Amino acid sequence: MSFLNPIGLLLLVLVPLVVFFHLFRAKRREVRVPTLRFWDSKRREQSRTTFFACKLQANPLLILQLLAVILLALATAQTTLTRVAQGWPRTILIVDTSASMAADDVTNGRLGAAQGQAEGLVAKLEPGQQVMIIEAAAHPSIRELFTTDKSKLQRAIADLRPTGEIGKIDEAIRLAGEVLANGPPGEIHVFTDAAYP
Amino acid sequence: MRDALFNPRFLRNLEQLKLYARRYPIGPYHGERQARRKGHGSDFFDFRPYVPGDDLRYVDWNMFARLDRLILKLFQAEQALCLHILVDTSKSMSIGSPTKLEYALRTAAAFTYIGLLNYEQVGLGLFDSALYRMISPRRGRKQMIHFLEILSDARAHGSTNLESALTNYALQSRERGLVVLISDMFGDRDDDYQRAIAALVARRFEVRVLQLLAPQEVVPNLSGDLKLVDVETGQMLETTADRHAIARYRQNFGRFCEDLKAFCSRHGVLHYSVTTDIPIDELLFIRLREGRFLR
Repeated sequence: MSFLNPIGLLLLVLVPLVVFFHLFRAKRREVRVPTLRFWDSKRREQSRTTFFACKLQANPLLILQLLAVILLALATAQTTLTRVAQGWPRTILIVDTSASMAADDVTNGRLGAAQGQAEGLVAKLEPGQQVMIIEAAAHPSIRELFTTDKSKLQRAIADLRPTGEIGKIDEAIRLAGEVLANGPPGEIHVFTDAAYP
Repeated sequence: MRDALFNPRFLRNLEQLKLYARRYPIGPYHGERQARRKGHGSDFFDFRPYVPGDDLRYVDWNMFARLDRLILKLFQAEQALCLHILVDTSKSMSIGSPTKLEYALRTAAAFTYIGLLNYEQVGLGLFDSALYRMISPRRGRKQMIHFLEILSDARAHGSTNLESALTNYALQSRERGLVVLISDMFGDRDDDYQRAIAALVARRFEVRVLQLLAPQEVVPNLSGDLKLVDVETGQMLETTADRHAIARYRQNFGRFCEDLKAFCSRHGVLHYSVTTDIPIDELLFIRLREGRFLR
């Protein structure tokens, strides 16, 4: 979870403000009575607890107000939850194999990291979900046609090697778009270091 | 209060009332009440043989002419009743409009007037958590002003301790008699009124309890979020006077009144409960006659 507009979280300062106003809300009407002995003893017990316990006893209005303030703050901060979409009937994985992907500035190298994420996605596929793999090198090429066979897909991913060429991600995406233009809807996942010349 | 009490029509009506007592305690003063014993009244009681030393004025000479024996005529004693009026002036009596205390003081003044007018001895006790003012029993209409001054000065203050105040009064009072206790009976403990009444009964007082209640105590006209403040202790209770809370209150209050009534009944104490919205004329001339306080 992340916030696109974290400054919106400043609205959370309203939470103590709401509690403060609740503590000092309009006073109850004071009524003089000759004795308290006839009033409910359970209710009488409540009056003997502490100031805060007495003021903040289960109050639906207070809870609703606090909830409204928190939701408003989260909405203003534009809370986003990022996760890989799944569930489309067809998925195309584009893996960048350009020269920059050979860099080993991350664990297992950039290509290794991309392969790992792609394999992880394949592992989570639901039955019946078809996946195609496109290699984005100087000339995008389809390394595996639409298939539901996870072992074939993982093998195709594992066989990818850095090409030492300039990666043409845009062409690879265009190719994937053309493939998806006909037939059921699908999604495209791109694994790249975004190091374009 | 004096103005209200000395309204001529009200006074004229009061003069027709007499105190009702089931048994007449023996008092030192001659009065208008016939005792169940021989004495110097005007009504015939019994005969007995003459013995030397008897007053010859009471010898029945007609009997002597017929039987040739000296027979003494005995008459029923006539004596004054000793009326003790005890008024609760605790803070809880400041509730209502008119306040229970105003109502209690007017009723006490009326009882005093009726008593003094009928040659009874009248004593007065004012109490809250303790007996703080006591006037020993006295007779004569002239005493009325003195009683009125004391009743007019009474103010609601302090908490209630019926047991302490009434036990003290019973111990200090030399004259037994009829006690009229005017109070809301809200003591500081659940069994406070029980111990208080028992102390008076144990000292052979004939006790009458006139329980004064404000209408809002019987049926609370309250709603919403409230902070209830006990006028005597200052203790506070925050509550919401919803339907259930009011029902629970009425149940507890009803049980308290029933218990009081049952206790009085068990101990031969006459109990009458009245709310302060009843006009005092109606209380004295109708209700207390029905309740056998007055006749």
